Amino acid sequence: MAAINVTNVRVLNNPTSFLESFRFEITFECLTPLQEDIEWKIIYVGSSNDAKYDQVLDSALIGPLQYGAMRFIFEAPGPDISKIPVDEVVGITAVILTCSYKDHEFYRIGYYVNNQYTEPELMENLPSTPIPEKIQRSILEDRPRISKFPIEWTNSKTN
Amino acid sequence: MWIEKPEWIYHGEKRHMPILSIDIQPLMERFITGAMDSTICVWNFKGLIDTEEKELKLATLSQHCGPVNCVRWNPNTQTFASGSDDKLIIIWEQKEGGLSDNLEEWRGVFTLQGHLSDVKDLNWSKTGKYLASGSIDNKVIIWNVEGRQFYPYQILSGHESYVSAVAFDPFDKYLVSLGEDKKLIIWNTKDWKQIKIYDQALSHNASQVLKRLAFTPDARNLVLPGPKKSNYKYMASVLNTENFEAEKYFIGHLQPVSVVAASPVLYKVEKTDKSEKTLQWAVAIGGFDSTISIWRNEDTKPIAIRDLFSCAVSDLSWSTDGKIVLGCSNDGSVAVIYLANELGDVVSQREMHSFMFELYSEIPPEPVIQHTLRKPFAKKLEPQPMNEQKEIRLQNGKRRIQPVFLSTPTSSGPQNPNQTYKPYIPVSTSNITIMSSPNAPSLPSVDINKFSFKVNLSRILCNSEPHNYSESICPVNLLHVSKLISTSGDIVLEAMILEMNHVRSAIRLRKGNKQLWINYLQHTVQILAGSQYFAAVYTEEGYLYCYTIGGIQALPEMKITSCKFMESSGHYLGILSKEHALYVYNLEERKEVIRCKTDDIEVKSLSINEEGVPKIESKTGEFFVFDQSMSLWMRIKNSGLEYYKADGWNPQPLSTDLVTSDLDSYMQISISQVETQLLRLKFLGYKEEYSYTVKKYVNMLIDAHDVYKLIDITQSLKSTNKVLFEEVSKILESHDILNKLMI
Repeated sequence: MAAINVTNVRVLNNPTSFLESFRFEITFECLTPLQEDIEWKIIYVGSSNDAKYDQVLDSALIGPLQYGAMRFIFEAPGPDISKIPVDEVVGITAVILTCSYKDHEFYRIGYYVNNQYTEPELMENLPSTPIPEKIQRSILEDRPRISKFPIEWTNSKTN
Repeated sequence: MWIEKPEWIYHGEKRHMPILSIDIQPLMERFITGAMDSTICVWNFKGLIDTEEKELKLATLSQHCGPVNCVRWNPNTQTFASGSDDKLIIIWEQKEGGLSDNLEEWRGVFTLQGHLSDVKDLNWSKTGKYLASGSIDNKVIIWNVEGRQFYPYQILSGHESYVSAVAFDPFDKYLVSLGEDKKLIIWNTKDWKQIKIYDQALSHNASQVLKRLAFTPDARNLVLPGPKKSNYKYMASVLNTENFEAEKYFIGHLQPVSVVAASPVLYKVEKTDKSEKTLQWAVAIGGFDSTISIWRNEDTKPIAIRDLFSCAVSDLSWSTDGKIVLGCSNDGSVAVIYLANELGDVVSQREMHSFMFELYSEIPPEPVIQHTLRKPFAKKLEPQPMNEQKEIRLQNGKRRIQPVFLSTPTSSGPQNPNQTYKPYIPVSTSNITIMSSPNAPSLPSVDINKFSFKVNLSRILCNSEPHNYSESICPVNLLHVSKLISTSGDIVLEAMILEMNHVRSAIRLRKGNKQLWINYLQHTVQILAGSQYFAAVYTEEGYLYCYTIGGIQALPEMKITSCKFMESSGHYLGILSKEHALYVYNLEERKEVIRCKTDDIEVKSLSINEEGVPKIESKTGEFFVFDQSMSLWMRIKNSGLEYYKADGWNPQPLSTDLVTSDLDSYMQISISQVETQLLRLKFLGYKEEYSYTVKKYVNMLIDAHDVYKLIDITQSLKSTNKVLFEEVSKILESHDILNKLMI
């Protein structure tokens, strides 16, 4: 039984420029008080073929948690384009928001991200080196992929 | 009979997820479903009866991490348990305060960890004390749920393969577990040892791990999915609970039987030759052929509803009045079967109890059902000090965010508490032809315009041997006479009148929900009395029974001519007979302490204090206490308001309290009133109030310059109460009167 239940995730700036930071508004409820922190991370998938191109854009700790519903805005800087393989910058990729407790991931929500040039010229003829200022990033917010993993929470009170 | 498939019952947003389990709450206010998408939904039962009902889905609970295989209400109806593929069992309770969009707030209060694999079936014992769970790890775990503790009490091994079903019998004497290894193991609940193994149990498809079995409410039979008879004929076996051997089989399903659920009531059925009525049980059987058949004990043909679903029936649940059956299926839908009188008249609970008593000389244990499902939300939400999100960056480069605490959203507010249950009244529309009797020949198919599909009611042939019932039914009067024993209010002595042949009544001691003991008497209980040491019962036939607080009869029955009032306190028992005689007995020492008459006092009530002193209240509002040494009744309280002359001018009403809380108001009351009060206080032994009043009295006398009375009181105190004498002297000294009195 999860002590944390994520009730809502909203993407605040969408669509936006490739360079802009990611802003998620996360609402969750804590069902039992937790002594340690939960850690939220935003991961940008640089390449769908290889996990080594995954960039952890940022992470945030929240805690200690009391019983109740909470909301916060998680802002993380945009991805570093130099770390992404050139041919994967434009196109479909993904961004993942995860939450872990005591280093065990219990919640993961992933969105498909579409990076496209807005100018029709550039859309037709893709430049060999990507021009980030002109790329529009749009997160497919209505199709999240949510995974919940059962982990050990603190045993003291509920068992 | 009427069948419906409500569209509002489903799990999952886009696809209707297979619903694996369904259970109706014993109070019939809600029912719950567990589905493959790991969610549990709590539904409003009224929505099945009342088409106007708006609030249908009360809650969606998603704390499991795997398909929820089984959801079962605790017989005390306040909590339910759910078992899932994530190896956990969660016990849910209702809470106030909404954190989510649910109409009702249910929280998982306990998580039972212990199984190593998917939990397949759950069953509560009848008193709610134990929860049995069966799992794919081949084990059955018995969880003890006394108080607020849940722990694995016993782990029963014995199956060599998955345990697919567990069930307690109505008397909680046996637990049976059904395994994929085709064994049905019967365990004794006293020492949890295997009593017997029955192994002609299952049909042979190991992949179909969906089997539920049921005991009949009269505890005579156990019905479970059975083996294959021949191609396209599958059976359910009916075992006799005496020797756990198959008595008969219900044949007819075209694919293996998956679920058996027994109706909690018995039905009065007229035999075909109209000779007599017998009490029979009924079971609903669901199969992989998506058919539900309902059989009674002696039926050779069931009521069958075919093709109710597009997939196997996964679970069935009966309502407590025996009139509604809910069935759920892997195709994600739920079917509701409303029965009118097809199975016969539903027998009342009292009749069922007397019937069971005839068979077994005891009635099955029952939990005390508490009707308030709403508990006040005790835990206060601790608010976060912040109102804004604050961020800091730690040294290791990590960010720490303090989120904004939301006040608990009261979306649509919690559901109104104490929904009163309206008994289900079967509705028949003109379109439906209600079957006249189950033994009638096959019915034409019924086209019910309201419903989304045509229901083809047909008969399935079977051969079963009829079973003979010859017991007659006795009328039962359940009179509840009860007496509160403990001051905390939770220990109650209750009596029930069962007018059966040799047992006329029963008394039991109940603490809260738990029945501590029950005793059966051959006489009819009339009056009860009890204290922390004993319980006493006076019966109509003129006998007094005394039991220790543990339930053992302490003394042989005593013949007492008549009894109008009976009260007790501590070790003393007082009886006021109809002939105006009062007797007080010390039960510990077995002595009669007081015997007197109350001739001209018309007694309204009687009470005994801890020292055995009787106090009676007369119909005129006066209170009398019996003084043993004088053998007389002393009046300690006047009736109503009485007027006393204050200063000869203004009549003052006398305070009717024995000891007024505001003793200072005595200053307004005359001295003679105070004297009377002093006398009473002294007589009754209220020492503190007495000394306080004495001092006040002395002060009043000083003010009134009544020297003679002062001399009187000080003289009497000098000889009786030295301490008080000292104090009074001090008061007198301070008023400089001491010398006047020359003491």
